[in-house]
Amino acid sequence: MMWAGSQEGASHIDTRAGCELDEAYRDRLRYAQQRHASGDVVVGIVGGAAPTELIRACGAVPVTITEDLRTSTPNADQLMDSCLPARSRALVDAALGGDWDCLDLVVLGAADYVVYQFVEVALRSGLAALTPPLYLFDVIRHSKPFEVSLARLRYKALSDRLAALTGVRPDRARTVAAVHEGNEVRRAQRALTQQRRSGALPGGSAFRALTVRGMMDDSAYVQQLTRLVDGCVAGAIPRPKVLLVSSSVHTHDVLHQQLEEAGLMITAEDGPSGSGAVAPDLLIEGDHDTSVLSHFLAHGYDRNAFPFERRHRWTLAELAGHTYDGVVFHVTGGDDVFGWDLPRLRAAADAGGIRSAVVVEAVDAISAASKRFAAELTEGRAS
Amino acid sequence: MTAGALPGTGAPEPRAERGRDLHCTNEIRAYQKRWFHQVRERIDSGEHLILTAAVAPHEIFEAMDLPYVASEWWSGLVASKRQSAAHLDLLRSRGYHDGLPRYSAIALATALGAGTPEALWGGLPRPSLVVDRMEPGVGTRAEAVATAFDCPIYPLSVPTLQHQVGRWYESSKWEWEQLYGGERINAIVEDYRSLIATCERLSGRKFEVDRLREVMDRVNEQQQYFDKIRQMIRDAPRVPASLPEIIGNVMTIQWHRGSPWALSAARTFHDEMAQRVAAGVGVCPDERLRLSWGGVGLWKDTAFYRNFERSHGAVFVQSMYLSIAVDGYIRYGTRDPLRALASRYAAMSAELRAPGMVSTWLVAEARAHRVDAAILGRSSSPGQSGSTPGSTVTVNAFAEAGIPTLVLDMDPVDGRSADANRAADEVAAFLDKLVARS
Repeated sequence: MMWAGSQEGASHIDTRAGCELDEAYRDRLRYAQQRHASGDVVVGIVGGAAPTELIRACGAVPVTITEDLRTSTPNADQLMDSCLPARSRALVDAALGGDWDCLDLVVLGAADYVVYQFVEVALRSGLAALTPPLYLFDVIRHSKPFEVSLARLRYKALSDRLAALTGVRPDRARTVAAVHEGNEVRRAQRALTQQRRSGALPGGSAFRALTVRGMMDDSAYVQQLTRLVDGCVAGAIPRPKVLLVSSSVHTHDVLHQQLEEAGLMITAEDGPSGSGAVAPDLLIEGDHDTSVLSHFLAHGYDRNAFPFERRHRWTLAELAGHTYDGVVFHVTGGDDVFGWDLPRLRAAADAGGIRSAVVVEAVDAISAASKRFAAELTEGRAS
Repeated sequence: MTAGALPGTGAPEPRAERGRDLHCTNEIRAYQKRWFHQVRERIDSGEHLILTAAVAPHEIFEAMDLPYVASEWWSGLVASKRQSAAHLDLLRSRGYHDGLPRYSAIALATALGAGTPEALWGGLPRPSLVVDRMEPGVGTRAEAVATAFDCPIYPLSVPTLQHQVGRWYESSKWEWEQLYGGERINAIVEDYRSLIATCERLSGRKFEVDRLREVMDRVNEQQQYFDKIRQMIRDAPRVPASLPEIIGNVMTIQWHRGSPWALSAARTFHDEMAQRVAAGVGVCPDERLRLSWGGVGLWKDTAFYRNFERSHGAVFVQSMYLSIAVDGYIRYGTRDPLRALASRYAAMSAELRAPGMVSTWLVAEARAHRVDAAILGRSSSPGQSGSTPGSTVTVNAFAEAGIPTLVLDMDPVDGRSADANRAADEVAAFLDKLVARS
């Protein structure tokens, strides 16, 4: 498989770096399995639900858990209706099918509450063998003082749960070391994002590289990203540059492939592998736990944050301050959150003089809509 | 208001059954319309309207004598007036995709200019504050409503329930503190204090905790009457009133829960039901099959529930409305009424939607009501809310209990879809099979 994801972009990047990242992308649980086999305590994080620094400071290995949308979901189908989001069904299926056996704990956030609920039902119904314990780490990002207090309580509870698993308390020295490691990753991700923004790296390639954080050792990951960035050749790929804003977390490049095959170039996107990869460094000021939590609350990706301006802070800034030829708003099946914001987001794009298109989940519809949009934008560029 | 209308909404019921309405039903309907006109007058004279949700602490507003409307009630009213199609078309034309849940979205369309005031009791006055839960799928919609009305929103925080409680209805009235978590209740109490401060600033009125306690105690007493009514329905040889009538009366009283009128209306409703049971009156003299309805009420076509009485002797005897009033609202121990109130809403969404909670409850209710089968509504857009009564988990639970089910894909308010006739055919065919089997 060609890492670059598109023939046009292939010549722009170092494929040696791509290969290792690509392997991690294709075999996503391999790293977790290896660490588990080595006797490490491995903690899965779904949807960026918990700060990796806390997990690492507790002596566990944080790994990123994603859904596999390319397989059927026979385990989940016993419980879940087809109208539920495909991502949720895929995650439940993985949990019930034993894919998570290499994990000692799985942390989910409120955005994946449905997954948590259905796995709980499956266990109670005897429909599943024992899965690793699931841990719901729900923090609310609305800024009320008591919500911050509740988040502190829940952070402490997660910390205690992890310490019970590993026997290690997250003291200051361990936290500082974990933060240092996390910041190294952030810097490498920001550098890659910059290349992507300039158009020197196909969006799909950048997306995959950013997605595999937590699927290999951080030091190796930083090395691979750096090599990938160093291998980029200046000079933008001549396609309409688009901003991608989706209703759902993406951890697979199916959508990217469709959009880029249609002739678009995704140079930035909202989501853990986009806006989530440009977070500033975590600085420890005063209490180390408070610093980690504050950074997590301020920069974690959260479609349910309040209000609209906070929920879409990154997107609104992009629409106001960057040059895109267009914006693609993507809606997945089962969406009942993002759609309420969509008209306001489109209005913000209009206000910024940026053309936008809405594509819905069905593959054919996305291909057709994105081809039309690419033609529109290309025509606009030429004129 | 015309006689024979769905209480609180005005939807017509089958003409042939008009004579069977309870006497109190007309009074309850009339009160609802009169109340809404009074609300309009109060807003016109400078008071502030709060637009809120069904699952929200109305008791605080009641204790502060602040006028409020629940968006679900408004949706039901618009749907029953056969105006939902125009409202939902407007949402589509404004860029809201069709996959979004339509129930409760009507208020947004109203805010964007849909509907004619004449047809809808003078129209929904512009609210001064929107209060809704910031749950996935609910919060963003409420924010859109507030933006469209150009008014502020108070976002209610709902920390997620850490574990689904299977048989919550057996102990939630007394053991709510243990059941739903001190930490979560602490947070919700703090939130309510902040909401109260917002309401005080808005209205210039002072909140008094003793008034809230009185409201809470009246709610408990009201639900005790509902509990007795439910027991009568469960035990009586034939159900003494029709489901649309029961739902309408219950919901109208629920919207005013905690008020002296609501308590009085619940008592009257109970007394009249008791008289009917004592007299052996049944809404369907030929009652042969007892059915439960799982899901949101079919506000766009409440006559649907009575379609099968003459043809099959099939009567709907149970829905979530009366059941949740009893099982979800009663909170004994109101020394700290704000805390008891917080526990009431700490898990109500989960009680109604979480797959591991709603399924056991629906089955328990169906059994207690001696139903022969359950008709379950399935939403096509459950989104992140998790489950609907027609979900696989619930159907499995009914199957395990030996209760036949029929799942209907029907939208409760969307008047654009012509699914009512199809659904009626499906139910008739299902009942044919039940009859043939018995």
